[in-house]
Amino acid sequence: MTETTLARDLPNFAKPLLPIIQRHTGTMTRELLLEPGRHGLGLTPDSLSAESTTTSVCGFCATGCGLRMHLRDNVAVGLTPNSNYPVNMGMACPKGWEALRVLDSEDRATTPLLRDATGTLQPVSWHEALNEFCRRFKDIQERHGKHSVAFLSTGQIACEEMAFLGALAKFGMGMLHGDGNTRQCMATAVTAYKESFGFDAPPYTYADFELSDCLVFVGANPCIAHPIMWERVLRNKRHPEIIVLDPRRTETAMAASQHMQLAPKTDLAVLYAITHEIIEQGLIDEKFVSEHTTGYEQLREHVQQFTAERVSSASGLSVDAIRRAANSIGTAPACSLWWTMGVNQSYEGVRTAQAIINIALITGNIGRPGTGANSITGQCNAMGSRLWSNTTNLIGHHKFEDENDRAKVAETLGIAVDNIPTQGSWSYERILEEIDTGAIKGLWLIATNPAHSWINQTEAQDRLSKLEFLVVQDMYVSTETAEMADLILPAGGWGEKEGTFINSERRYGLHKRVRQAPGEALADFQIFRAIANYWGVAEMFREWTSPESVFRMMQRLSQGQPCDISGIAGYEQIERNGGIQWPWSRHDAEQHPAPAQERRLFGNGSFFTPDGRARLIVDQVTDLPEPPCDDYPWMLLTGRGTVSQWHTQTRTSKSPILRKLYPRQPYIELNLLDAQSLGIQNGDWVQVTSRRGSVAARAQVTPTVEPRQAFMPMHYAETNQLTLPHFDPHSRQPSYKDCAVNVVALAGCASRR
Amino acid sequence: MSTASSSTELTAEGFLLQLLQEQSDLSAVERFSVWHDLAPDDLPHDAAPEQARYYQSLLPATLPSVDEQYGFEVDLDACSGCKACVVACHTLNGLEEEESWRRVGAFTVNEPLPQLRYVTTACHHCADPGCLNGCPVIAYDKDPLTGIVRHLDDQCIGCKYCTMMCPYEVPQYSSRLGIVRKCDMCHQRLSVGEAPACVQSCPNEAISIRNVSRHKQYGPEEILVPSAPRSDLTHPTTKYVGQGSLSGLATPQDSQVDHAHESHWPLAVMLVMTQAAVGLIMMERLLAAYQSVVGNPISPVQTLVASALALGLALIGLSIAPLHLGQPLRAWRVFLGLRTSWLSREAVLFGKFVGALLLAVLLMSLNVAETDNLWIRRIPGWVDGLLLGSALALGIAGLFSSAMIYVVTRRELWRFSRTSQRFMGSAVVLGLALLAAATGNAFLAACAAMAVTVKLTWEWSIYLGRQRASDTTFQARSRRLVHRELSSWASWRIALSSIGALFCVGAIALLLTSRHTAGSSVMLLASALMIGGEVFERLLYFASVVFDRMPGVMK
Repeated sequence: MTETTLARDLPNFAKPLLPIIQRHTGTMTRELLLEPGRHGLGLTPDSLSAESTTTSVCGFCATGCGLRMHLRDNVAVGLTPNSNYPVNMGMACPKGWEALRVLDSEDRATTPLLRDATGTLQPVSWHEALNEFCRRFKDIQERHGKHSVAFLSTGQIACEEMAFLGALAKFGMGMLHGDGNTRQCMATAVTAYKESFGFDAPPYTYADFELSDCLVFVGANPCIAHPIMWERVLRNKRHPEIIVLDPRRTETAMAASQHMQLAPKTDLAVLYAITHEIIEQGLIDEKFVSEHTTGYEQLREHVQQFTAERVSSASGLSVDAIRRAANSIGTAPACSLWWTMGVNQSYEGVRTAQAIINIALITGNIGRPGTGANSITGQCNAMGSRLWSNTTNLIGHHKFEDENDRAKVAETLGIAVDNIPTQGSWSYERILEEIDTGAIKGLWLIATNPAHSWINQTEAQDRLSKLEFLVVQDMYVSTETAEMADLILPAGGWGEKEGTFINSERRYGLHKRVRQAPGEALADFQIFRAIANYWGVAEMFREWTSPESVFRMMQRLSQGQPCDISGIAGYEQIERNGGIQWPWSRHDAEQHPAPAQERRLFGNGSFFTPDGRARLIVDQVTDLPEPPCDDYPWMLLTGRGTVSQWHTQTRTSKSPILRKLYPRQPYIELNLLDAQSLGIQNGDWVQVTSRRGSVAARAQVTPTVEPRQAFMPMHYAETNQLTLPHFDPHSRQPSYKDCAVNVVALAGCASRR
Repeated sequence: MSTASSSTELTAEGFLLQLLQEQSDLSAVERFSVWHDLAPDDLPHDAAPEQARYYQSLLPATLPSVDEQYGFEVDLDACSGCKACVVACHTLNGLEEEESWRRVGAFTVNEPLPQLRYVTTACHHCADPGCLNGCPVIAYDKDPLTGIVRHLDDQCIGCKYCTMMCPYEVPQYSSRLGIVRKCDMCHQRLSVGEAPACVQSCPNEAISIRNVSRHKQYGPEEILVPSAPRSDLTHPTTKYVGQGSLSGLATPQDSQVDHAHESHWPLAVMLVMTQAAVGLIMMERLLAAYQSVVGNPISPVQTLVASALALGLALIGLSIAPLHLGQPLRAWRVFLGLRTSWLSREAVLFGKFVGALLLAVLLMSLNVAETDNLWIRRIPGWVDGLLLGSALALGIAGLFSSAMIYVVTRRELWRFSRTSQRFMGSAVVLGLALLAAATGNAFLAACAAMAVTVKLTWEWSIYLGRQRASDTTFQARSRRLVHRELSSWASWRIALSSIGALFCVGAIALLLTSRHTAGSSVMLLASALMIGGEVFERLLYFASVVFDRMPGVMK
């Protein structure tokens, strides 16, 4: 250590007194002392020092970052991002850094809770809870038919758990209807891909962010929603053109070279206009179109009406902006197009996603490095839900309606084929609606919070309250939904259990049990085993003893499917390889020593449709169902607020440091001009009213939303009291981002709360 | 049937036990970490961290030259506002639950294109650090080689003065430890060639460490980013680059959103008490001088009473002051900062003020008691006057230091004219009132009532009353705080002093009708009320201050 100023200035005779006069060390200094961390870590504080490390993948979003767990006595005391994982290269967003912290909370469910005669939730034993679970659900099924009990699952649990849940509920308990909260995030992308590519197959790998000459983001704000993907964009050394379609001037829009700030819900028309311009400017890849697609003629004819001039007036974009974007896309050697919730959560989202897919296809931007029509996934295991939840699709992305598929599944799982329903489930919104008709009487919710997150929340809560028996299986007792439950099953969270997630780029990643679950909380996997036992179907699930044994079954089920993973040697290989993207078939494994770390689909131009050609699908543009009017003059947009918040804040609100990074109270972003006309200042309170509800929020005055548009983050329970329940007709995904509201200043507002 | 079901239940319960046991067994981690265990534990201890390959280019290739030091460089175009740096700083430094030495704020720009810009900020390791200059115990050190401004945690007395001296609000107080802590640029990491936590955790490589000039001087108009405090206060070494740093017409995301600051109540009480004491001595000396000029010398008893009262008030003030310290036992080092710190000077001067006053009071009491002690009688008669005069000089110097403590923070609302008027105003008001009580002088009581009225009126115009067209932005924001969050204190401030003034009027009536004891008692009560009023004034002084800040976000 170098000499301090005081030490230098002190006269010689006084120097021996220095340690007393100026204390350079002591307990408080030592508290911040860093020691070599070993295990490839740098200097490390005591709180993070590890005896050994292991790896895991993050359980928040579908970026699927690798995390390095710091272990002492096999317990994770902390984590750092994994420097060697191909996804994130040693980076993580605040949620990832705090992934372990949110496990410690007063609100954790530590024992089953059963609502007693007085209406209070009382702790009960697992034995009593599961007996009650079976007794009540069986009773309902006896009185109202097997299908009167349904389940709603999540994109937040492991593939193996989803598979178990889906198989148990449908094959074991005789349910017909079950869906996941992935309906709220990815249903549109799934439907679009299935129709266009013949399979729910996001074609890309994250390296494509770095290899594009032109990146187009539609309804996506990766800076905030997927910051580690944005990291990959910034690693692109090709000085790419970045085009962003978003009604808000988001962080990503700010970083774009072309921000197309279109009027809300004019994206489909604008994409058709871009398509039209690409054709007009002669920028299509005719060879690719003729060899690998069908429907080009209908597409060309359909988009003719969407001239740049016509769409310009509706969207508020200039004709030049549309032409320029078309030119950038059509002339880029490699162009990739990316979308997420701005497209998915729309009443015409499937066709919008397909309009994006069309552009990639007609310009030949698929299957090559830096290309693709790429859906960015929301939840950590939304893709796992799509492939393995046994809800819309028969487990392993098979078809309930297909006899051969049913036979294959029955044989692989060793169950009677009669146990497999011959039709898919109702969608999420239909399940809730059917509570009103009395067709659904019992509901089992796993790791999701519809009393907060479902569109038009008041109606959703009203419906949940009509159920005869509501079971909520969750980590926390404090979610809006858990508070309504008749029975709460305490679940272990991420970090307290193991299994695989599939990230946005189809990568299976492994997460591990590195913490004790609190109290009697059990991993969801173990809860399903217990329920199988109590329900009396233990025999059917005798092989389902561990996540890895279920993974092996999944591998068998995947054989011959586009998502074939039969070539994966096991969990150990997933970890060693830095995750493995599907497909990795036995055949692939025989050909190559190890899976390459970055692989994309459709390199050979062959799609998963029966004829191997991609479909170009177009449709009419539809009007806004609830346009702004005199009484409700603002268009309310919703979305992610900050990087530090996740969905309904169930987990992120449990970390003190994350909580410090986002506004505590609900807020609404308003344009400066609107603030002036309302006579309010930044930070004042306003009342926001839609036809369905009225809430107070703090005004955040910003030029990044247009006048007469407003933005509210989805993380605050207030937001979904306002939203309009309407859905994409093909994907049944709720359209969260377009409802009309009125805003008025609240008197004496600044001193509120 | 029933036997069958109960045996199922038994099995089921046994199975449950097995599941719970499996859940608590963490040995599975070992199974998974076999591969992982092979390599890293065997790495030599000095092997470069795995992350090093990603951050090498973000560190300077050489140590700073004699004219250089380390500085943060932040690329505003690269920062996307993810705040990973904030959480990484928290985690990699092992800080407290809510503690991080980095913050991220934001500002918006309307023209020519709407923009939202994020600003990540930490300690700026200033060329002329306010924290270091203000620290009364030299608990800060600017490293001669790297220029890193380090806080010496075991030296800190927790006086929080650095939190006022730093224009960037960098040092943060920890109530658990009773000290402040701040960013040390991860000097431990830098010393072994590793990147600071924020540098190595930024996905966008927006933060780097560079060698920068030690002698960079800012002009009075220069600021780091829009809305930031003037850079010429402390000459920060952080460099913000990118287009966003250039725009002048930016609005911070937390603009118009002010919250009351800490009230520092022990300081408020200490200030008012010491000012009352100094004011009382001052007024007494003036009265004594006047009376001796008019040939009616003041009675020694009155001087003694006034001095003893002043001593009592000063002692109350100085004994409450340490409550403000997080580590009072370390406070004996407070003289160390005399060279640069007004806080050291205030502490030392008030210490000597009380000493002189104590001696004066002792001597005067002996004189008044007409002791026979020869040693005492040998002390010349002018000594007590000299002691009292010295006490007054020391007290005024202490009072001046008190004001300078806040003036040198360069917060506009604490500028010299404002602060000195408020502090000196308290001294005059309370000095007059207390002397009136001590002497039973109706004229002084009238003066006290007048003085407090003038002070209240003045305060009404600058912060208590309604907004005025002439208000500066700071004044308007401060008024809003006083009217909203702090309105109850403002009411107390006005009410106590006004009632005090009314009591003065009552006391005058009593004194003029020769009911001296009652008059003095009422005047004492009036003084107490007015002391209360001044304490609330001082709480408002601390809590309602606003100043230029680094851009923040809505909380």
